[in-house]
Formats: sequence, structure tokens, C-alpha cells
Amino acid sequence: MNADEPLGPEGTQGRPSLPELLAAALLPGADDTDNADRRASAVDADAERAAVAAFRAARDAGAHRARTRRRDDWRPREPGRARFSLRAAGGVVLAGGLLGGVALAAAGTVTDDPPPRPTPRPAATSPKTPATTPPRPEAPAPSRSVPPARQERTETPAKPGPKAKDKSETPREKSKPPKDKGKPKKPPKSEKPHPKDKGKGNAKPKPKHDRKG
Amino acid sequence: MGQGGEPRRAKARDEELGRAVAAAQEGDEAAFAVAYRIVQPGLVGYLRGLVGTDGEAAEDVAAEAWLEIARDLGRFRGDGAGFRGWTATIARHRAFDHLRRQKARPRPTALEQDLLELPGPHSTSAAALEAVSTERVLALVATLPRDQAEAVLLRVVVGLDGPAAARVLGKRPGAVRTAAYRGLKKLGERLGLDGVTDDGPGALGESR
Repeated sequence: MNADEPLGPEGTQGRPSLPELLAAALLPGADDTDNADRRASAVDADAERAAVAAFRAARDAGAHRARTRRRDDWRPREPGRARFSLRAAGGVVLAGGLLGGVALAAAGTVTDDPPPRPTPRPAATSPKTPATTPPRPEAPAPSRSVPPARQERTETPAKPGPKAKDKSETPREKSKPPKDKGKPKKPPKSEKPHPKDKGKGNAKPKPKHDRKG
Repeated sequence: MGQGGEPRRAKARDEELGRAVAAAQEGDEAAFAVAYRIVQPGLVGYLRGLVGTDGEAAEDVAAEAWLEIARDLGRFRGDGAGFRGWTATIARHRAFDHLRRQKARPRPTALEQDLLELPGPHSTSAAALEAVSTERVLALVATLPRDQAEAVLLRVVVGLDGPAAARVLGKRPGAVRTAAYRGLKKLGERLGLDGVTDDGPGALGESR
């Protein structure tokens, strides 16, 4: 932006422009730089004397040695624009960082997804896993042991309670026997030992189905 | 590139103003008076647009502003154009103070106004004619939205360039430039100055 741009509609040749007309109307006497009397009439002499007196008082009191605040700095170096560009640069850096972070996060989710998908397939071919397990996007190692347990849960909701208790208490849960024995029912823990149950009783028919189908 | 009349004239005087301000900051009392005479007309014109033309309100606000200008002159840094912007900012704040006070206090009746009114420096017949047109122009300016009126006054009457006017108003230069242009266009239409608003409706999109 430059200060030389035309402010408003230009006056055509010989005719004053609108800004000139406005200035002439609103600045009585200011246009006549040659006519000292008219210029003087635009400025009230008493007001001028009061201003000069205030100036003198401030100067003599040492007020003019006060520090320059930002709002007092009107040097044409345009510090305001420099500040703005700094601010803009900071904004760009911040926005870039945010966008980069979003991009990295997005890339992470994209690359994380594929690995689980290929691994369940080999799990599906393994003999012990039933046909219903493959769609689960879980890691291969837990998928072998966990899915069968879940399946049995759905098949026999009432059975595993007492059965699991009997068998699980003896081999597995030796570490915390008092608590388990004290409680007659322990639904969460009864689910864990299922794999063992399955291996002995319930799970036997299933591998057959898988092999047939 | 063409020039509006007022900015060019203001610029010519800005050098003189800059010298006067620099000398005043060194303690030169006469130089301060010179700066006062250069700046005061534009300041009063701007303040008339802000606080109206009733009585001597604009002159009173200007006097308050000058007290502050005289006190803080040592803090100021800049040239003549910068001094116009700095003083306009101070005057603007004093004008808003005045308007707040006025809102809190009922205005005197028209009769009191007439009694209080003293013959001012514009009481000669030639100046009276001029004053009428000043009143008319100010009345028209008062019909503009505030941002447009202030932008027009700062650029035309105070003689600030676009960035300086924007700094006084605390707005973006582009917004002030647009406001000044729209305000001038409306004023031209309402003043019936067909000759100076010939550039047509599409002019806003042109490179300005």
C-alpha cells in the first residue's frame, strides 16, 4: 500500500476533486496558504497560547524526557507491519506444525491398519480356531486362545460357572486360594479357565466341524 | 499516479511540520506554535465530525487534546506525517471521553445554546457563507456510517495516508481504504457532484 494512491474520484481538468471540495469546506482558511490572515483566523489565538503554555510547563517540568511507548512511535519504518509479518510467520509455523501432526497421525492410522488384517488369515487356517474367528482384527497369538473361550461363553452360559470353578481352582489359582474359595461365585474368573474346559469336554466336537466344513 | 488534492498539500506541509516538531522536541517554543498552527485546522475539522458542531465542542476537545500533546511531546517519535497520526489518535480518545460525558449529562436547550453562543472568528460575512457549506458538508458526513465518516475525515481533513488512518482507527488498512472510498462516493452522490463521481459503479473493483 502506498500513500500516493488517489483517495477518491479524481477531479477532471480544471474541476476540483471531491476530496479537495471537502477539504475546502471543512478546513476554512487552511487552503489559502498565502493568505496569512485567513489562516490565522482558522486557529484561535487564545487556544494556541494555552497549548504553548502547556508545552512550556511540560518542558520545564522535564516531562519531555519521558519514555516512548509503542503508541508514540510513528516512525515511517512501519514497525506495525514488521510486527504483523512476524505474527503471520508465527502463525504459519504453528499451522504447519499442526497440519504436520495431523498428517503424521493420519499416516500412523493408515499404516497401523494393514498389519492386523493379513495376520488373522493364517489364524483362520490353523486347525483349532473355528470359522467364526477370522473377522476379528486381533493379533494372531491371542486370537488362538481367546476366541474359543468366547464362543463357549455364548454356547453355554450357565454351565461354565460351576464346572470352571471346580477345575480352575485346583491347578491354576493356587496363588490366591483363600479369596476364591471364600466366594461361592466368581463370574469373571470362571471365564478364564475355559480353554481348559474346552480342551477336555466341550471343544472336542468343534474341531471336527471345522475340518468337515 | 494521480493524487487527491488534500494529501498532496498535506505532504508538502509535512516536511515543514516535521522540522517544527523536531525543534519543539528540543525545547523550541516557537516551533511548537508552528506545529500547532499546521495541525490544528485538520484536527478541529476531524473533531467536528466526531462530536458535532454545537457550540465550541470540537474546539474544547481539541484544547484538551493539545494539553496532552504538549505534555507527551517528548515521547513522540516520527516525522510530520507521523505527528498528524499521533495527534489525531490523542484527539480521537479525547473526543470519545467527551461523548461519554455528554451521554451522562443532559444537553442544554437550544435557547441556552443561543445565549451561550459568542461571535467567533467566523462571524464575517464571507466566512459565514463558508460556515454554511461547512455545516452542510458535516451534516452529510454525519449521515455516513461511522467507520466511513471517520475514514473520510482522517484522510481528507487530517491529511493522513491509508496506513496512518488505519492505525488511528485500529483497523486494517484495506478496511479503512474501502470505507474511505465508499464514504467519498456517497458524499459525492449526495452533494450532487456528478462531475467528480463519473467513474461509475464498477470503480470499486478497480485497483485501489
